[in-house]
This record gives sequence, C-alpha cells and structure tokens, in this order.
Amino acid sequence: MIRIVGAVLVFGASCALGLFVDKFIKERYKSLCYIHDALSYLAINISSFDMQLKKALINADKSLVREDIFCEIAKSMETLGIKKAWKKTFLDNKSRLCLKDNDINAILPLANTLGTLDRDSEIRCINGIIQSLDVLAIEAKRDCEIKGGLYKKCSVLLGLLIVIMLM
Amino acid sequence: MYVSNCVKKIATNKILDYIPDNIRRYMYSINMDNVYQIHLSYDKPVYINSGAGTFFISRHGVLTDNVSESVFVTKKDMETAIELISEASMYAVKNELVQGFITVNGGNRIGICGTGVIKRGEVSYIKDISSLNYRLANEVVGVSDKVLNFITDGIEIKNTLIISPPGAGKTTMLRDIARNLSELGFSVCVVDERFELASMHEGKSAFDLGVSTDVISGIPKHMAMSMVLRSMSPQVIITDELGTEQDTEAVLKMQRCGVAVIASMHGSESLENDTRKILGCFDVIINMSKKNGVGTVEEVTII
Repeated sequence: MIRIVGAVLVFGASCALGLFVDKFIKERYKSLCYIHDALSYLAINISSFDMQLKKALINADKSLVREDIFCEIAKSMETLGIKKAWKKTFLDNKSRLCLKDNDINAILPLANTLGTLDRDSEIRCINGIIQSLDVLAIEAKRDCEIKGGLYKKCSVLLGLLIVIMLM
Repeated sequence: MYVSNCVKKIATNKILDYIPDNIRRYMYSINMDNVYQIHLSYDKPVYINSGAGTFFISRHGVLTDNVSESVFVTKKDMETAIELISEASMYAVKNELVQGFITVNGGNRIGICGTGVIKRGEVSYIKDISSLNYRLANEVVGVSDKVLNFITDGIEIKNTLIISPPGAGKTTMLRDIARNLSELGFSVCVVDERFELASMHEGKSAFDLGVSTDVISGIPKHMAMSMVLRSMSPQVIITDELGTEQDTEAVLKMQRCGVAVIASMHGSESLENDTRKILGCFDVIINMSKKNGVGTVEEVTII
C-alpha cells in the first residue's frame, strides 16, 4: 500500500515538475511578447502624440487591454523617478513574469535614457530594446515549441520509470 | 506714477514641486513672499532673488549672505530637477526647450542653460544642462486699474504698447489688463506664444484672465493673431514681447481689421524713440521700470 502511495506521489511530483517548467517557458514567451508590444505602443505614443511619459506608459498598457508593468511604472515614477521606477518594477516582477536574467539585462538599460532625450533619440533607444526583445522572444518561442513538450514528456516518462522501479 | 499692489499671489508652493528634494528640504521654512527667482547652477550655491536682495540658502534652512554655509547643487540634483520640470518627458517639451525655458504648472517659467544640439540648422535639443532659473509667476490683481482709463473709455479700446526692461512687470500688467477688459465686457483674446502670459497647463490658465478671455498658446504671434481674428472675433488682442517684423505687420493687419492690440516690448529709455518709430501704430505707450519697485509706471504717453 505504502509503495503504491509513494509511486503515485513520485509520479505526480515528476509530472508537476515537467508541467511547471513547461508553463514557465510559455509564460516567459508571453511576457516577452507583452513587453515587446507595450514598448511598441510606448514608442508610438511618444513619436506620434508627443505624450507625456506617464500618460504614454499608461496608454501602452491600455492599448493591450491590461493594467500591468507599465501602469505600475507610471504610478511609481512620481515618487521614485523614472530610472528607479523602471528598474525596481521589472526586478520586483521578474519571477511573476518568468523572465530570465538575460531578459532583464536587455530591458533595464532603457531606464538610463527614458524621458531624458529628444524624440528621435528616445525612439531609437526604445527600438533598440525592441530588437533585443525580438531575438529573446524568438528564442523563447523555440523553447516553447521544442523544450516545453520535451519537458512534459520526459517528466511523465521519468515518473513512470521511477514507479516501475519502485514497484 | 507708482502703482501699488492690491492683491499679490505668488505661486511659491507650486514651484517647490519642481525643485529637487535634496534642495527643497532646506526651503520649507523660508519665507518666499517676495521671492521672484530661484537659481540653480551645477556645482554652485543655490541662491534666490527677492525684493530684499540676493541670498543663498543655508544648510540650516534659512537665507544667508555667506556662500560657505550655502547648499550646493550636485549633478544628481540637476538631473532630478530636469526630470521634475519635464515630467520625465524631455521630448515633449522640445519646442519650449529650444526657446530656453519650460513653463510649468502654476504659470512659473524655468529658464534653462546648457549645450545646444544643432540639427538641420536649428537648435533641436539642449544637453548637459548647467543652470536652471526658476522665475516665479506673479498675479497682481488691480495693478492695471490706474492705467485702464488711458486704454479704454468703456466703449472703445486704444492700441497700447507697454515698454519696460525685463522684470519690470510688463507681463503682470498685461494679464491684469486682460482681466479688467474682460470684466468690462470686451471680447478679449490672449495670444501667448511662449506660455508666459496665460501659462496654460492642460487647457487651463494659471491666472484669472476674466470670463470673456480666450487664449491661444504656443503658436507664433503673427500666425496666432490671424487665426483668432478669423475664429474668435475678438475686440482686443493682447500679446507679449513684440519683436520681429512679422509681429509688427500682424499688429497693423489687426488694426486694419478693427481689432485693438495691446502688447508689450522689451526696451529702456534709450530705446524709446526707436521703438516708437517702429511701432508708431500704437495710440498709447506705457513706460514701466523698477525704479520704485516692480510695476512702477513711469509715464503714459498718448499719441
């Protein structure tokens, strides 16, 4: 009886681990796409409408019908300043958005220039970050397609193997 | 003739919002009633200009003559100040920036010095900002009461030019004239090219310009005058700091169309004759100075 319960638990844990890794990879891809799109809207708000940064950040989120990171930055920039607000918000939400260190390293440099340059330079900087995110998103999508399925299948097989060994 | 202030309102509380917190914390206990300028320069002491003279701000939160006791401006302070002034959106204030100042909430104007970046033959940006000069906006209700009789008899308005050196109260006088004429029932239009006269912020003026006053901001004077002439049918157009030939031509055009113009111009007594020659189209010329304090009306000439 104990052996059966143990086998079920091990199988369950192994599957859960595989699903968790798969979900992490998918979430990372979704987050990168979200940040990429929001930055594109941010660039449009700045270049086309000359919108104040706070409003441009809020509008970037609204355009994607969500109230997330960019709204949070807009709220905290009044007290922290844009540089700190940008860095703090992304670092605080790193786990929730399932971002890797590479992703964060690509996003954070924008804090140094955001809101301090003329419009053309501002757009160039944002586009630079968008291009970096493009590369990361492609990588994340490939991970989703290849590694995601692999992790799920492997975890199930590993679970089964352990169960067989235990039995 | 000296026009004394009836009611004086200085937007000192609002200006503190645009001063970096490292410096602002020394300023809370300072009486800002007569302050008209606050000056921040990188690696130099913070000083203020008030009716009583020029003073430094000490690390004890009081005004002082002693430079060694004063608060010095750091690079970080300058960066913070720029972020506060531009609301972290330097790109959005480009047009103002290339003119050398940004108008902030409350009608206060912040002058900026730094290194200009020239693109396609014109100033596109100012980098390495080294100095900030906070000019506090004044609203002195009633300052124009004594000159109003020279400007209007209640039925028609005379073309009026106010001439004075910088800081003598031309703009404050124009604002009060707009309010007074509006209260008399005239349809007034304020042409505010540099956001100084009406200091519009998010569609609202920081000053009481009267109920029948319309404001057009941020457009070159000669263009704005033609626009309001067609769209708002004003009886009088009020504008600040005439200077170019285009401005003069626009004033003449307005007068030909039967619209009175009240304007101001930088000048001093030595320039008086020249300016009269250039702008001989005005019926009343008011000379102002700082002789008996800001807002001193030296002479009113009816031509």
